Amino acid sequence: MDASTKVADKRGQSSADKRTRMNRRWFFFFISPWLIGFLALTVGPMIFSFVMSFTNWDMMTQMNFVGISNYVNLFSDPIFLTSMKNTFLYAAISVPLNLLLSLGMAYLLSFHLKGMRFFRTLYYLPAIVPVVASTILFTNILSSNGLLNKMLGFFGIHGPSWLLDKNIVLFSFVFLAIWGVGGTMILLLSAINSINDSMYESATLDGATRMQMFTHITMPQISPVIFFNLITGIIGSLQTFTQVYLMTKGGPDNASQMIVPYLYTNAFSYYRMGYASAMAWVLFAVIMVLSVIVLKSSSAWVFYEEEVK
Amino acid sequence: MLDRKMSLWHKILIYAILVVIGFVLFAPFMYMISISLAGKQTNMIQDFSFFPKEFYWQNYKTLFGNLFGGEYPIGTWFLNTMLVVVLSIIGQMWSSSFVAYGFAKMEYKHKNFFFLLLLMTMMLPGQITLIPVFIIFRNLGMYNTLWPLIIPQFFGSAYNIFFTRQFMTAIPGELYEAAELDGLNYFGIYRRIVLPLVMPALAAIAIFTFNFAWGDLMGPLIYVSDSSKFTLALGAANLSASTNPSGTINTSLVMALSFCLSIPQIAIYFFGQKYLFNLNLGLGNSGSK
Repeated sequence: MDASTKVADKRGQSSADKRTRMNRRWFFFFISPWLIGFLALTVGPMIFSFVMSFTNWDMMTQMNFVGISNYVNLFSDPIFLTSMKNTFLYAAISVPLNLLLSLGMAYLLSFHLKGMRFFRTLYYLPAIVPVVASTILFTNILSSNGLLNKMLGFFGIHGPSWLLDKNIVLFSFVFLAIWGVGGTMILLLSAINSINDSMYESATLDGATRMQMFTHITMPQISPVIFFNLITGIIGSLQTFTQVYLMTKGGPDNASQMIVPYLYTNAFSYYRMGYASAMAWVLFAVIMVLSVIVLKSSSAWVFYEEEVK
Repeated sequence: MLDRKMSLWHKILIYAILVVIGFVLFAPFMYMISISLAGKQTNMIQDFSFFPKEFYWQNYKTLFGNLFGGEYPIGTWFLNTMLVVVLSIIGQMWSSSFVAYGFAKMEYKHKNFFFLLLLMTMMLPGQITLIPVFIIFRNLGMYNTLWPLIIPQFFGSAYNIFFTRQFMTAIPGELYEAAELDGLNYFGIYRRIVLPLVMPALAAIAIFTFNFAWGDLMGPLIYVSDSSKFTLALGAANLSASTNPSGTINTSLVMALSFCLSIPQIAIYFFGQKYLFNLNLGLGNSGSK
């Protein structure tokens, strides 16, 4: 009990009531910016979007209810199905690869050797390049006679046209994602560095090898951070837009189309607002389902300090 | 990680791996600079080298040649971007601290219910509200203006509010009580006591907001149609789509613009990294010294 409530108790019940009312007013006063935005820019639009997904609205003609036909059409739309497949494939490749590489790099940087600050900055640099700039850059790097194929040619490999070959075009986005690996790395590195040294000290006394310490101390200790990056990585990669929009426009022949760019095209090029809204809700459902699966799995492999106590 | 005696070979191996990774990650930057300095002939055949073979500074002169007109008025684009960035930062710093104070220190029976709502909005993908919010701003007559990019920032974002609230709960309670005894009301406490104390958190929010507003493509793409209203990111994206090997816009110009787009963000990181990395250390300590 803090001092202010003690004072209120002495003054009696009515003053306590007044205080509660006052507090309530102040609470709503302070949260009002968020609350107004929440109602006007989140709840309202959510309801609108949900209703719209059952109509054929194109912003010009009248809004007609068409039942669930938008959702039915979505699952027989070959481009949408391809976008779903591509988005999943991209997420399934880039997220684990990104985590593995950033974990390896963070581990290397956690050794107290000279020049680690320099390498840390160097590795993090690509992650702070605006995605518009990095995408434009990689469009050139991945062209038939771009930097990547020149490097491969150095080893005698004749590189393919990454952006024009239907079978491998998705890897273009994976390269771009890997270039930005420093963003995840920096979080894992700070997690590794914050592990208490005494843990390693006692393990050393017990004669543990470096490998054993990594699997039994480092990995469990940073597993919450890995979990956080897994969730945000999955959600982020499912919403990939700029890379596709700028690098391939979904081509060739929709071989690199993804959900959000296809949603954008439907909404803002064809004005098929109802159809695009249905797509947004399917994306929401997909994100929810995957998040819940990862969340459920986390109790098996994410380690929280409290469990030991 | 604890240091153990490490053999020389071990150290050499680690440095070798670090250098190889460093080279792979730095090579694209080198290529970016090389392309931005390539001459007209190289652009024609689209055959760029890794190290700059030519130093055709004319590309940068051409890019900055006509700041407020022509095909790429990058002066105008820069001012537009700065307007969005500065107002977004003000909006986010104000709204996150204001709302976070309500959640951190005000007493209300159903506070947790509202806090749960706030946390839930973090999970909602932006695409759900994208189209309705677009229609709202269009009906308010704000299509082809920068306001739809700025106004939402003044209503706060769940992540920033949550972040600031966590920071505020660590401020010792005696500070508030002392202020209350001095006769300050809650707004006064917010302005005089809380705001200065949470500045480190708000500095981090300013950096997050800068990164978002500076590089955002989808927002400007949806709301803005005239070249005179473009932000730099949208301008660069548009130019990259309209390159022509022989004509007025070539790959080198676009790459020079991409380079210029990257520099401020890298600079912000270097000046701001002390706020980002020392945040945990500063948590709640500033008031009780």
